[in-house]
Amino acid sequence: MQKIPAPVRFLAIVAVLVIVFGACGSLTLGAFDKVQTHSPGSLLDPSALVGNVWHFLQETLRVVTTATDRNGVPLRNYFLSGLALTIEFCAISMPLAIVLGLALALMSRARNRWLRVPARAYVEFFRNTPLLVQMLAIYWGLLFLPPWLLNPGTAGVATLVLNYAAYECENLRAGLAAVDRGQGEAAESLGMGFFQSLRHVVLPQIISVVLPPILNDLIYMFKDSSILSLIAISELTKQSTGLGRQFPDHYWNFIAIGAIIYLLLSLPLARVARSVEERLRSVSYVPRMDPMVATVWVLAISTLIGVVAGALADTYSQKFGAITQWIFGVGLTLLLMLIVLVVLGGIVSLPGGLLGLFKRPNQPDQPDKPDSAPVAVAAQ
Amino acid sequence: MDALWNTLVIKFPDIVTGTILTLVFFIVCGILAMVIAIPAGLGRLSRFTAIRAVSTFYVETIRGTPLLFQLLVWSFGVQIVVVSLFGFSADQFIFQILTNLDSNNLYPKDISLAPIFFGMIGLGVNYGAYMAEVIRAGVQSVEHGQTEAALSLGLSRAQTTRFIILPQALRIMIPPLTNNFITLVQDTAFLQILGVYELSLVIQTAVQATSSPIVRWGLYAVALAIYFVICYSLALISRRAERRTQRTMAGAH
Repeated sequence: MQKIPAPVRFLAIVAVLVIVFGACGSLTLGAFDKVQTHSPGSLLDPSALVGNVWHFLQETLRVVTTATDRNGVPLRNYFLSGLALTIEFCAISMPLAIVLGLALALMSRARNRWLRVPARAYVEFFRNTPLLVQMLAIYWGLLFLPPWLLNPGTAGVATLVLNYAAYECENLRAGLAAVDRGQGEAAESLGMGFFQSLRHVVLPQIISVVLPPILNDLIYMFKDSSILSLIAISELTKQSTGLGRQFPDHYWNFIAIGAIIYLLLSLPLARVARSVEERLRSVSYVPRMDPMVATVWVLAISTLIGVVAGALADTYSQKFGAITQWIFGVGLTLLLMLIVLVVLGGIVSLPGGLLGLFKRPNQPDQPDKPDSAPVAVAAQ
Repeated sequence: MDALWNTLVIKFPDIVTGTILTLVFFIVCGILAMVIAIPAGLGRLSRFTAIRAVSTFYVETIRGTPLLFQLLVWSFGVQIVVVSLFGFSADQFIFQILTNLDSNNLYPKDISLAPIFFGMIGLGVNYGAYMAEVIRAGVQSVEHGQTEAALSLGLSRAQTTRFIILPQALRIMIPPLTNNFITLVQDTAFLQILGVYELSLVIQTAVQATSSPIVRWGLYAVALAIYFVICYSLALISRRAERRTQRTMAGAH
């Protein structure tokens, strides 16, 4: 099996998409045409199909370049602002999810059960309930809050961060389990504090384990952010399908552009994730950069992307992109996380505590190593 | 609290129906996804370039675009394409099937089944791509020497795949496949955007009918708890199955 170079493969995928969608578009042309200037084509007429696909390609290019809607707004602005919002949400949410996921991972490895139990309950809860219902619950359930604290933007950030923190926690926990516990203890016996040993000894070693799954999760978040359209955030999915509703004649053109934008971002990211994974597997990789510094860099760069994309979206849609909104979103997220941890921890530890009364006294109350069995499962 | 209790009592039949619908979607879409995933996953490893290209195209495009986007395309775009091309109407199709089964009194009178039909196809096709990747990875994880050994023993390629590779690969695939099934349960909630009254939409309509935060949170708590019970029991089953396979594999050595 010879390898086809990635750009060629991507172009081939786009070409096939355009042909398939072009065929769909040309075949449904008559369906919306009131004057019936076009009749629906036939699959059995290749020359007409070629002509229709060519026409479709021209129309798609026209949509991307010059076409405007009824108010004179260029159609490409819809796609740009949708894309900007999508990137913005991911760039704000992913770093925060990683940081909170690290906190959760450390909590779920702690020996103190008042830290461990709520963290486990949090992770299991968020991994086993639908993101969509979580989002609706956060938005519709908190509508009594003042609008500066709860609006679609802050609710969206809170949903993405809270959900993905649980997944990042699992990734990071698998990484932490791969590092021998003795190393942290050795570092602490050398006089390093907990955070120092974490920063200088443990985190540099786990980066090679956790980077590929985190990159994969970034792709997932990029796609999952499409659900934000359900709380009236006009990101890419909403923009392209909404345009399709407005101009049903060009439905397949808009769908093709939207799909290609999604593929343009997610396929290269998947490629990067795979190559990082392969490179990290081949050598025992120890990063030269201090992970703390690296984290600050990643945070800074992604915030910059978020702000720039927000500014772009702001010029186009005049609705989103206020920095205060992101700050309040982060605040809302932290607040909700605290509440969820306390509530879920309470719900889970109450029956556990009651059950503990009936346990035989000669058995230990809790296993000494909380990370023995479940982590081995997660590490695979 | 009284208001919450009253709402729950009134909505109880709807919630039960919604839960059953969610489970039905999970089972049907899961079967559909597996039916698509096995040829697609094996096709990505095929010797023939055409088969490989088709399955790679399918997997990469589906995995590269969001489920919501795909469901909207299925329900709006594809529906119109198949109507204008083949005159195919999902409602008539389902009615015809039910008639052939001598039970078309089951067909609901006042709602269209087209969103359910296209939604299930969209969900199944989506998960087919993710599961195809799992199957490909599982097959690839079986050592290549085993294929060579089987071929040199005189087994055909199909026989090798069936008797040598798939039994070993299936064992490796079980945990990631169950993970996919768990997310499939969660993603049946997406069918609410097509107006299918499954659990999340039942809850959402009830929520939008009240203004009291307590009632809203109570309803959401019920929905989240039901989803959690379904998904977490699946996760527990998968963990137990995984432990058992590890034990048998350890015993085999």
